[in-house]
Amino acid sequence: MRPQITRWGITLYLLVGTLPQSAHADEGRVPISMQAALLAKVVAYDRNLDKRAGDHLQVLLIGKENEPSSERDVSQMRDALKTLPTIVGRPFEVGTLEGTDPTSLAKEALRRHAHIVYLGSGFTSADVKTFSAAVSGGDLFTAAADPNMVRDGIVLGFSLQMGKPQLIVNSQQASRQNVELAAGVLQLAKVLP
Amino acid sequence: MMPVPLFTSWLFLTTATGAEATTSPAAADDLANMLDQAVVSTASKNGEDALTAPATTWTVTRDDLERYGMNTIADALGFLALGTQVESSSDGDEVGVRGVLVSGDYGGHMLLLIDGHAINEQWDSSAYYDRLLGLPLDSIDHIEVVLGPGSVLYGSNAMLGVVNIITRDGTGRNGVRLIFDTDPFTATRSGISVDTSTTVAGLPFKLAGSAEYYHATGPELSMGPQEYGADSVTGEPRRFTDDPVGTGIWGGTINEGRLLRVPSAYLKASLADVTLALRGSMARIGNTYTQYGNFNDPDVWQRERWLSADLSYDLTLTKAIDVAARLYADGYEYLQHLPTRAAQNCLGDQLDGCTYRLLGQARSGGLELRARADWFGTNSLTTLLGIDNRLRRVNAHEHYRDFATHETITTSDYTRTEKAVGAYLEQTVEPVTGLHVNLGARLDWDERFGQHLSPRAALALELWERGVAKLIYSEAFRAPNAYERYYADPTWWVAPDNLQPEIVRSGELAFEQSVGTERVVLGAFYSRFTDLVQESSLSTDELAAAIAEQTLVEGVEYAGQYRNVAKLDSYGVNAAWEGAAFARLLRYGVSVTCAKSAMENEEGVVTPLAVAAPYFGNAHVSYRVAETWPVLALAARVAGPRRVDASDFDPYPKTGHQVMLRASVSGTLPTLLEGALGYRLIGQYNTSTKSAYAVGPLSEPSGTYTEQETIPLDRYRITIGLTYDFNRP
Repeated sequence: MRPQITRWGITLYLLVGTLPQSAHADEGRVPISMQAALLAKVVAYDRNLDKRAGDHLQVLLIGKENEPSSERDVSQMRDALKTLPTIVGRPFEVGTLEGTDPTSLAKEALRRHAHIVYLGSGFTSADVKTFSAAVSGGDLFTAAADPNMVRDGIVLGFSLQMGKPQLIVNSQQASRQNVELAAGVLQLAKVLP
Repeated sequence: MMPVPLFTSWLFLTTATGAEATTSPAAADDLANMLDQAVVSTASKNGEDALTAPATTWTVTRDDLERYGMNTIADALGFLALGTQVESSSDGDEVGVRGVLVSGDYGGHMLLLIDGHAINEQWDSSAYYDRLLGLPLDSIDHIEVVLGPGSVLYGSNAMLGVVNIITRDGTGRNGVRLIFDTDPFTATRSGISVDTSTTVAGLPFKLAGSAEYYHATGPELSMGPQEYGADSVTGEPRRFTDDPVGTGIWGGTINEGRLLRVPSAYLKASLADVTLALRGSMARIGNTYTQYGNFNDPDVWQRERWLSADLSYDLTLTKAIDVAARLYADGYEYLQHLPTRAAQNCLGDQLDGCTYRLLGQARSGGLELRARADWFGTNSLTTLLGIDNRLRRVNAHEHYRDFATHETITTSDYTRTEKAVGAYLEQTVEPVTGLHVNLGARLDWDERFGQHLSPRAALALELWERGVAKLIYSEAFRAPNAYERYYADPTWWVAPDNLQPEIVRSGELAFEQSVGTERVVLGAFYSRFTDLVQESSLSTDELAAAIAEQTLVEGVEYAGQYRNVAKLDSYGVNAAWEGAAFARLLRYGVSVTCAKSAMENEEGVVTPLAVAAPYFGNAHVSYRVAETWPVLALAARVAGPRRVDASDFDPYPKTGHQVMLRASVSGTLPTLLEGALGYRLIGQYNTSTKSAYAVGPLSEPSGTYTEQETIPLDRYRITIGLTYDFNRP
């Protein structure tokens, strides 16, 4: 029986693996407008934000080129951020960036001195790991539309648990990026070791 | 002295503001409040803030279920939700919404979904909210309740509302949970759950699976005695047991007949954007106090079997357009086994009694395709277009087997293969900031009844911060089920030729406000139900015509038929308030619904709807002393006096007020063997032991029987539960 199971497994993997993987089910995730509001709240609890940013914040939204879901996330986030007068009491600028090479995107984010970087969905696990490694040691707060990316090195993600938004925090990566979230926020979040 | 939780709360608010220049205690509280906002997806098949969804919605979370000791979906709806009334009948728990409860409908007037998959089966529209649901309790993540008609996106059955059970997806925990519950000496539940989320070859993989086995044997109940008298066929005292000589008296102690066995399993696995869900369950139910079978006979039972599969795939096609495909299949079987020694329950010369058997089966499968366009990429103008094709095969067989001769006589036998197609369109637009317009309609075409259009129009206006007024008009329908449409028995029943869907049209005005941790919902509603299906008698001319057409056999003096003959009006108000304090360690809520509902039957006689309470509601409060301390919780549900179902007493009898109280203590013990041991102790007290359902063969006064007897309810119930989690890091 084992060879048969293996064949089924390979067939299933090929079936799923060859399907386009750019999707996200809006039914099962936190609406981007809510993500924007939450992001703006959470960054306020980064104890190093004051040192990192002056009286002005740079927000960079990064989408994966030719990835429709990623473009949509960036577009919706940009629109949602427009409705916020300030972030942590500071005026802010929103920039966008598109690309496929995570190393280049990370370098560009650091070059622009972005304080907050938000990744749209569509980046692969390997992309996110590469991106996160590249920004390690930098001084910026990263967040992502896809909660799976937190495991791969994004500091903050948003998932739905019990029909309510849940914060997911990668504490190790946060340290690497000089982000120090207050304990009270971590109490509200699911913290990955 | 400041209480511990209050101090904890204060400590959080102050320590959370380490970046004093940028945060404040109020901002910290804001964040916690934002994380408490419900995101719903049932009302429009899209994740959205519940506050602006195009319906009044209510969410009950897994945390609520555990905190308040809820054992079934019916518990959750009755004790914790807004606008839902739960009553215990011989067929299980029935659910009504906003003053409308259709007794004996097996849940057919409400649409029940599990992860968006319709559970109402295709033979008799049944869907259950108690143990018979056949879904392991631990598989539930949360429950979304949409009040009011919901056919606009879902088609048939969504007349009173839509209940969507969202199951765990494997991300909440990571490991294995063992479960054991017991109602001492009467019931046990044991189960296992597995959750994992990982990456497989670079693709995210999530799996959540649960299996459980519920087994109940009691408690004992006493009923009767009801002095029925003679069997209408033999003229001898009617026999209610296997004793060769009948007494004509029904009743006694039920100690054999409350057997309930329900094994069930649910599995949901997703690899990237492909999700597979499988559900299987079987229920064997002892139903030994039905008047149509022997009393307290363990051989009187029903069995239901369910199997379903759902494979879905979501894809973002372009920046503006998402598409999704869902392939689904369902299998269902119902078998009723009813031995009776009463000749009047059998056929012709089956004078020594018979075994009645009814088998109903449904198999169906379908494909749903949908596309959503977000035209500006900002959710301000979206279009949803979907089509749902279903092919189903239903069959049923009814026969009576003579105890004496073992001869079997088949009275009804049908098989039908039918196609059904539903196409829906939903347009949302936010013409000005804060005004959410949602317009939609679904056209259903079904070989069983023809076609039907179900529109909905909803406006949600954000009046001020987190304050929304909603104006909603919606329609829904219930397709005649296969039993109503095809059942025929040449000795007394004629299948209808032109049975149409039942229809409800509803208008609603609602106001919702969230302030900090508090949420208030106020609403007023009016619903008109038409073309309701009821049993109807054939006139003399119709009887003659049916005999001439050989639909009925010669000599039949009475015959019935299902027809669209009844109407129902319902209007009323509802209100709910829920909130939290002390850093959410204290949680509370209350809801109340007042409704007036009246049914107009075929003869134009208007009566209050049986079982539906004119006012009902619930309240709950819980307190977690500290993170590792127990949660103390108290929940109550209340129903006002309501008319007893299936009684011919004049004036119609009523049951009194009913208050059901449930107290629970739950928590987790400190780490043990690298796992976590959870416990719960639940006690329930019922102020009334009389349900709103008549029981026994007598439904009108007879001799010394001057008060309608109803199905008794348990006064007390205790549940003790343990869980053990083997968690992986």
